[in-house]
Amino acid sequence: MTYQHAQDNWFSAIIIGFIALMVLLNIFRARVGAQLFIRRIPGLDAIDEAIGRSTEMGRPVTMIPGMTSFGVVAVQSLTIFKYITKQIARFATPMRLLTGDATVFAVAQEAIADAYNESGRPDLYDGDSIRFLSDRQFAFASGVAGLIQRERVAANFMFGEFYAESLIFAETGNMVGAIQVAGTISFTQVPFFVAACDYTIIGDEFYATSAYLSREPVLLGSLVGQDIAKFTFAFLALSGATLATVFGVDDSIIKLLGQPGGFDAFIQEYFGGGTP
Amino acid sequence: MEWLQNFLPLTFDRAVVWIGVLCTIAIYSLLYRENPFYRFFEHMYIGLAAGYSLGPLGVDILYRYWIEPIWVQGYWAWAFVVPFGLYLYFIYSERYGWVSRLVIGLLIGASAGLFFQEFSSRYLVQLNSTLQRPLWFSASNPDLTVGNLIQNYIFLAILLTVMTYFTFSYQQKGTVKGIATAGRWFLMIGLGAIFGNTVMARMALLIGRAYYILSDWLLIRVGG
Repeated sequence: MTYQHAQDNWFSAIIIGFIALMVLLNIFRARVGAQLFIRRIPGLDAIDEAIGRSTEMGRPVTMIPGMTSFGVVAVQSLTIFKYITKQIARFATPMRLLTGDATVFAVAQEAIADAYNESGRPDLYDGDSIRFLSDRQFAFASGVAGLIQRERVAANFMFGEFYAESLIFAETGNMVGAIQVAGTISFTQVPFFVAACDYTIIGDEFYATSAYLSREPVLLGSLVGQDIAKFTFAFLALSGATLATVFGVDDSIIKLLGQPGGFDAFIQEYFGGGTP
Repeated sequence: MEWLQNFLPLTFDRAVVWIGVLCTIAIYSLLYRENPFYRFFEHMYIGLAAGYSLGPLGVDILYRYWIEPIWVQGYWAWAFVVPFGLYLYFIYSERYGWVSRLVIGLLIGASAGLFFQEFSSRYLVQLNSTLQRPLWFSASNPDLTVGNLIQNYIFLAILLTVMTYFTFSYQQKGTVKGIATAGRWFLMIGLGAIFGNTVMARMALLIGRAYYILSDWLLIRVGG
């Protein structure tokens, strides 16, 4: 079931409008200086530990956004990688960023150069440390696996969208004894990261991580807005289940949310009007 | 003697099998350690993939979405799309680097816009499914069984605890922390199920490779 336009399901459109409004409102609050609270994700400590270890060992850090194509997720990944780069720039620890998307590669070069500039060490930036390997999934996986083994990396950070190649990266990192921190919104790949990495940032924690690290008003506001959306969903789920118990699961009030024509059917039944 | 004749790469078909096995063994050799044999095949694989990508780029993207609409269907306005995409290369110019941001902004905006539709189609349908779960017996739901009822409570408990775990804008303490921890446990049970399922699928792939080596290459009869 897909909705192309708002008129396919007006109630869904209203809910989405409400969520968008909450996000915008909180972005505005963050911009005018309100201190929005984000709880610290335990995985953040793991990031700092991994950086410390690679510095002690003098071996490189790898950062992998995977096959993530350029978009919202890629920007969040690069935000986290910028934070990591700023940390390693203090100790001149070498890094490699390996991507399977040409656009992410171009933007990553700029983002990493910015990170070195902001940390006061532009001399450390090496364009060759950011590499586009291949846009073919397993060719990319073989390239990453080979590089992790050759360079015996001490820390491996994987943030972005991953597919079947995720376990190849994580297991190879595990073989060379790297501390690994992974975060992905690809729910089916989370179990492999949980099994093979030292710490895994799951689902929405990925967005929270980038918001916490960057303190960007847009990211902070979005996260708080999303929390409000989650509370709304929880309320709707509980109240909807109660209504389904009282009126029955086939009642138009239940069809109201998430079924084509549900809004019109509801208006028709309860108010005797609505669009035909 | 006949086996040896069939085994050796004396025909084109046998040579293809030999190359396939060589590639398989080379890539698997990484499990032992990184070695020149693996390195050669890794670089060859990446090179082949880069060459192969040109095919889909030309046929599936440039021809299908650009040349065909312009020349065959007459949508001449599409002619402006590729030059606009090429603006991305300005990222390498210090003076005109800002031009590339036009393309980047468009990509981000399109990605965010499409997410609205995806959100509606993916999550609101799930929410509607959540609503259809009665919490006690009533005349409105005569078909409800004890089994369904238990399932509904388990579903709602998991939904609400996991949702609590994924809220970030307040400090989780006391009861809320307990609920979030329960959510994390439920999540791990679900992830364990996915893990087991996928490992079985990966084993099937491994068996496929082993079958290829034993049956197609070594000509050993495997199974029935």
